Amino acid sequence: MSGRQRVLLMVVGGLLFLASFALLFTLLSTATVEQGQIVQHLSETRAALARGNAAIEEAIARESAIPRLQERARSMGFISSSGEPVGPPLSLPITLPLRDPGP
Amino acid sequence: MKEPASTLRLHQVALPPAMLLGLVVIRLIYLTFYAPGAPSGVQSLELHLEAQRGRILDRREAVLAMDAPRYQVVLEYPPIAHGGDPLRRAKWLEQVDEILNPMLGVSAQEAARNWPDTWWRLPIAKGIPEDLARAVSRRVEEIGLRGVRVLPYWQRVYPEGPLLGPVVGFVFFGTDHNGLEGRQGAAGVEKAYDAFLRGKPVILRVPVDAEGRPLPLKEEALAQPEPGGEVVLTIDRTIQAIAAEELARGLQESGAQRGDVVMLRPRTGEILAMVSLPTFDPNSPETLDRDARNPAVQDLYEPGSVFKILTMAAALEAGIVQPETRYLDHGCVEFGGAPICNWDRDLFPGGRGWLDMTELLIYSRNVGAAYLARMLGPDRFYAALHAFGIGEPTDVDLPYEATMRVRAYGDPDWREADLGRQSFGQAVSVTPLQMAVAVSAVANDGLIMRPFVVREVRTADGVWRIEPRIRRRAISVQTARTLREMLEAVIRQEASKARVPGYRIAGKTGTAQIPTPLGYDPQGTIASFVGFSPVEDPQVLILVKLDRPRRSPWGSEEAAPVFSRIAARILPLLGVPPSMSRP
Repeated sequence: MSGRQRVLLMVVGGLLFLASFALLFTLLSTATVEQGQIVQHLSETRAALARGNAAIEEAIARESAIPRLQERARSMGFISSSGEPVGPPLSLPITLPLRDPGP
Repeated sequence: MKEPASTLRLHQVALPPAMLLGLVVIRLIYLTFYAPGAPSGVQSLELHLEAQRGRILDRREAVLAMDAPRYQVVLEYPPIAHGGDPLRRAKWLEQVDEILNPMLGVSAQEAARNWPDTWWRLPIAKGIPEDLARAVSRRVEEIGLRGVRVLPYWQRVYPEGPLLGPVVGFVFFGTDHNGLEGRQGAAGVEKAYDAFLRGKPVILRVPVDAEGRPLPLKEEALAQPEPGGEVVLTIDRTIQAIAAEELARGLQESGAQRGDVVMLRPRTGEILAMVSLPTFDPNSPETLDRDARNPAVQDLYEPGSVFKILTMAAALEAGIVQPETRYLDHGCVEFGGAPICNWDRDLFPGGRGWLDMTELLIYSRNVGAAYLARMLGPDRFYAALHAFGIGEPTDVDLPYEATMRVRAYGDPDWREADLGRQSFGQAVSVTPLQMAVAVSAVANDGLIMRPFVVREVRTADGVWRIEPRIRRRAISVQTARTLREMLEAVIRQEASKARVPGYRIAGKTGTAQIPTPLGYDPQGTIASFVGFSPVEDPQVLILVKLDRPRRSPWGSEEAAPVFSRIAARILPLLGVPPSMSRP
């Protein structure tokens, strides 16, 4: 084998080594990215579920808020134990009309 | 010359990898210099992932404040989206409008007019519902529209609205002492417990792709913000609602400008309700600037005759009087060069004659209170006020508590007349909470507890229960019990409108003048009542305060009925059996 042939052989060997290294790197990094994407997807799913839970919780809290319960009780015909109509807290903050503005 | 066969074979083997490498190099050159949407030097972005703020619950775990998801449509980073070219930018915004305007009814072109260069994101629609957010997201993806993103965010909501506004407080967007931007508590429990509620946001510098999207390649990019802890209050929202309802009714009937109710357990210091009306709705930021305060903790007033409870306690404790000790009530008396008269001097110009100490409280004698102060002397009187915590903060776990120094003996601006006036609640200022806490010592066998609104804090690190804490002993057990009996007589014989059928009530009315820079306002009063029940084992103390009632100026006429109606409704709720049914 001549000197030139040896050089060519070394170049080809080097290229093949680089190519196989690149292939291995590509395979590993692809797997890593895939894993990362799965984890990210799971993470996003978890965040979406947390948002969903919070949205449901908000709806429940709004439905069971006292002004809303009073409203429902009133619409169902309930009145206060004293028989008087339920007062202004449903519309808090209240604004008071001046009964007698005076001079 | 002909090449050897082995060399040709080598060329054949080397050619494909060499061509492959060449293609890679060409692609890199293209991506770097010619690809559309080149990142213009922007290779990373700072992402701020906001943590979900913790909930605030009432003592029965009802939600008072929480973070709820909302969605926003944002335009992102113009240099990436339009390559820094104004014509392309205009065309891009036109395209955005074509797609989003029919769905959202907003104009991106309008919104982008004031887009600061320093912002890489511009929200054009906030608070959109989830289904619309999904539709927009799908449409943007179908069209392949660049630089438009639908993002979730957290919004603070208060399901009970204004019912607990002053106590729960609210949040605002700002920078904290560490320089971190985000939502932070501005008032109430939101501020006092901000460190527990806020959670831990994630701030990342992440690489971006050609369209400016963060690349989740680094391990840190997967980090999630840590939600905030939960705070459980001592407040019961049902009791709070009853107090609000009855106070609102009291305001309407009396024509008072505003009012406060403080309700606490004297044995523990737990605050069960704290109402101030009119109030603000923490869900409506536009009302926050004007009204967002907690007057029960932040506003001082002269308490008037309810303060006689403390003067009497000091005198009993010092042993200078007994309940049956009598004094001669003249109607008016001179004290330190200033006249002190009873509130009913027009009806009884010469006073009511000989009265005992219980009658002093029953008829709310200013002259009698001054008589006690004179007998006590300034040293013992001010020592007693100090023991009751007057002039100092209660150490309640709410922010911005107001205090006013009591002008006391030894101060350069003290006059002897101050002692006389302070004995019946003038020339001394307290908050409704401070007054309630001071009187709670009488209900709690002489012990003053630290008032508190948070009973439990739950974080990822554990659960902390806040235990009742004794601040100090104000008076002896015997003095407290004696005074309870005397205050019961006040209700039995005079303040009939504070009575609650079936329950033994002890309390005292107060009608205070309102100080102004030009002296006391002749037009208005502060009508108040502080009482507790049942006398044999006090479970709850309620302070009612009405500012400037118009129908009647007197605490016995306006504040006492509010107390009565609240107590009648909440005592059964608290599981307190009627006194008459006890063995």
